Amino acid sequence: MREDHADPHVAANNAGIQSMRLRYGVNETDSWWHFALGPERKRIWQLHREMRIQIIRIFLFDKNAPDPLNEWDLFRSYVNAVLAVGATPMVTYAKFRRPFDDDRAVRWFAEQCGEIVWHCLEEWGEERVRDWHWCVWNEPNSDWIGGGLSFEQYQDIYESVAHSILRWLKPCLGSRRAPIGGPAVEGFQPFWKDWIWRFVTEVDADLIGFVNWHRYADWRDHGEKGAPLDAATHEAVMLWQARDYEVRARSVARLIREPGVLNVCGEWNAHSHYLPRVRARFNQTLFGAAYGASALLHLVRGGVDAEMLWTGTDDACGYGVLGPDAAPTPLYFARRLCAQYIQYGDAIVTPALDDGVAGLDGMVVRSSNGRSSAVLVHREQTATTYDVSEITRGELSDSCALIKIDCETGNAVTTGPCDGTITFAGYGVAVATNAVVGHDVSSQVE
Amino acid sequence: MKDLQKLSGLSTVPPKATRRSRLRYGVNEASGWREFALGPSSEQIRDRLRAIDTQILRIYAFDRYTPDPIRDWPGFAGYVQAVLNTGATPMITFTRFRPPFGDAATVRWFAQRCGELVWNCIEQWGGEAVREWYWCVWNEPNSDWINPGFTFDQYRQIYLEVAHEILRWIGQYLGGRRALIGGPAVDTFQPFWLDWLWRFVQEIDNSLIGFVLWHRFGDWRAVGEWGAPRDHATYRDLLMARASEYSEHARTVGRLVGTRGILNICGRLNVNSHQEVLVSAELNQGVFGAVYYALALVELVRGGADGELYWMGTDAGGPYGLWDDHGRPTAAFLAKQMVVQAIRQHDEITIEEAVQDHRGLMVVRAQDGGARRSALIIHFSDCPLSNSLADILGQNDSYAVFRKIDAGTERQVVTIPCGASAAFNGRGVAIALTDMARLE
Repeated sequence: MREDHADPHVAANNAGIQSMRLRYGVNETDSWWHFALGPERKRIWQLHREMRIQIIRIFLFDKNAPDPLNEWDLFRSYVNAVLAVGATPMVTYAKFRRPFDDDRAVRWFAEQCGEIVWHCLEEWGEERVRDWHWCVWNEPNSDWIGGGLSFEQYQDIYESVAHSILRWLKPCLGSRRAPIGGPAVEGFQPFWKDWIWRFVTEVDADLIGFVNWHRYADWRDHGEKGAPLDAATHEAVMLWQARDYEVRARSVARLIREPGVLNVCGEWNAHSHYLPRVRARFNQTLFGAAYGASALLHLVRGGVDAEMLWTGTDDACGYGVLGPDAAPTPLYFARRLCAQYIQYGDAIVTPALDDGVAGLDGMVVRSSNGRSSAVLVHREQTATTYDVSEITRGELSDSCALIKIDCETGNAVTTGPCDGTITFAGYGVAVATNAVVGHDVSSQVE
Repeated sequence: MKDLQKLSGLSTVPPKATRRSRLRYGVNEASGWREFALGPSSEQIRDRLRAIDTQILRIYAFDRYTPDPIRDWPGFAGYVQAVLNTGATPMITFTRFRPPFGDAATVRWFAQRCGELVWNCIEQWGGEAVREWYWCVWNEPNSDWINPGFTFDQYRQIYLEVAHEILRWIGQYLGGRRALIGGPAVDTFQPFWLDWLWRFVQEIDNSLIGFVLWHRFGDWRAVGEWGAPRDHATYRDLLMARASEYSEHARTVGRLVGTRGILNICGRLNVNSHQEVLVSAELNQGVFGAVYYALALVELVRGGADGELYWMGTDAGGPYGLWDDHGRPTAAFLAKQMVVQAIRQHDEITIEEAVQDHRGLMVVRAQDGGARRSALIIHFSDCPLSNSLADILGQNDSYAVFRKIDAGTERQVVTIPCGASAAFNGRGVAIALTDMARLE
């Protein structure tokens, strides 16, 4: 029996504390070579570790990924790069290019997927591989990306592939749930939720370990297909709708029937325009940093188990937080701030901020070792100063450090003492904390 | 006490939260306006509207199936008078004009027509009455089907001009209160529908906005059409599962308008908007539609919506109505009547849902300011539920009256003994009341 709650945030206990359960992750796809084999790969791995990346979604059979059966060496490097970061791979069998409803084609595809699992067990051993995740298909509900399957076609493929994976994986799983999932639905499509509901309702529950859904704020440029013509308005609409991550997370959680099935936002970013230069303007700027940090806060609040930003490393694709030379975007720093100060198991204080503060999103976080922080996202272009004690309802005072990125800090974070106020020069992300973590300790400006 | 917590197998639950229902009940009267206003069964229809506590009746001007207020003022006045005879407040929708929408002269002409209508209303019914009415500007401007190519910038211009024209006549009667002018009545099947609401409240002077309106149907597809499940049972289960979107949408819109003093109204709702009677009539008007509507109403209460307007009241041979041209009620009407008997605006309510063994069961307990208590039980799973209503509600609750509708009651509401064995034969709605007063 579940009773209704006036404040959905206050679910964990009576005191308005929610336990942080989000695992951070990224997709490494089109630019996988730079991530796995490029000259700056070790620096890229280090920066991933600084973002506390725990899951990396990699692709097979799409996105220029190496063919695991014909190019095993390349595939091995791809996986080893994930392991070098210290993360767990989510191997995505993206699609096949034969008729979807041809039984032989489905069987052929499932056999291939099973072969890969067997090869991985041979290469990396049961102890490691049993913790990996296996995602069946990518955006099957999208004509553009996944081929526009019917759900019935997808279900047939999913079950065939899952059985093929479990043929090899089951002996080493013990009592664990099968780490297989889907349907990795594209969130712009109408009736995307139908796919989630049917997935958890119609597919054999023993074959489902996680539910994967995708969400971008927009795919239209300013003025395109009814989008606001004015950039400021368009950005403001997008930022306001970052809360949709929380709404969707809760909505998906309601549909998941089996305990232990993970709720995963497997692909997200601010913008997915078809031209890299357009989406880069949204994703790889301070706007993208503010949007991304706000999205993360909402994913945490929504109780999502894992998120995977699209993407980590990026060679002129307009998405990634790191270039092929390991150069970070503002969103890299925003993600790092969130990951360092909102860690798995931390207590999220709700409600976090004074309700009357417009333009600011934020979260007060306490760790078990006494760290207390306010993670703040400024979602407006105008410069504004806030009183820390006031906006955090006294949770933090002036005896703390301030770490911040905004247009005055350049494409970097600055660390310094907090005088009790925080000034944002336009879009920005900041942390006020009583205990500076990791890479923010050493330098005033990175 | 054997309550739902025990039925579900959960031993502990978080402390329950109560909320106050803000929901005003309402109905659209559109294509069936003649039967509603002038037909031989209009009195019976009026009684139906009263029986479901109709507080807002949305009617349409400048649309293809309603009387033209300029050419046929007596016809339109009869339409409005029929609303007033029910005791409800009219929401007059200035539906549209023909393109081009961006032509300044046409916009001006339309705004003046709207102003003329307001002036005529004041002349006929007086400013003191008319100032309480709602005025909705346009219908589904974001729908490519109804208004292809229409942009928000065009809509905003029209809204502003129409709002100023309304205020020109009604302003003197408002006495400092905000005029109940609103829009944009968005179709939420459209992608980016929320953009319209955000821009509506952000880009228009809020003193010109009394309410925001959004429309929500469960689906527009037939079984198996456009990716919908091919199996009827799956399709219906899916629709029920998605009813929670009413609370999600209401909460999202509420967050947008909450502190601005703007009402949050679901301006159209029903199960299926498919135009073919054979597709949508059974879904909308049978027991399935009745249960769906009851569930949607509770979700709207849960989401904090200020009003709901069912699509629609009178519908002679169509798939949407709560009754036909003779006032003969559908199961959806009977369910709404039960919801209204159980939950009134301002009642304090708690919502409980089974989460494990009996998924598909919801109980809403309501209490007014006095000692009157009621419970609404919605069983939205197709599986039979063998527990008695007393089992579900707990023996300590001394309810005097139990009534229900489900697949076994042949589209009738039946009064049942408290200890009756079978609570629900498939999907159904039941109420338990502490006294008979709310049945009156």
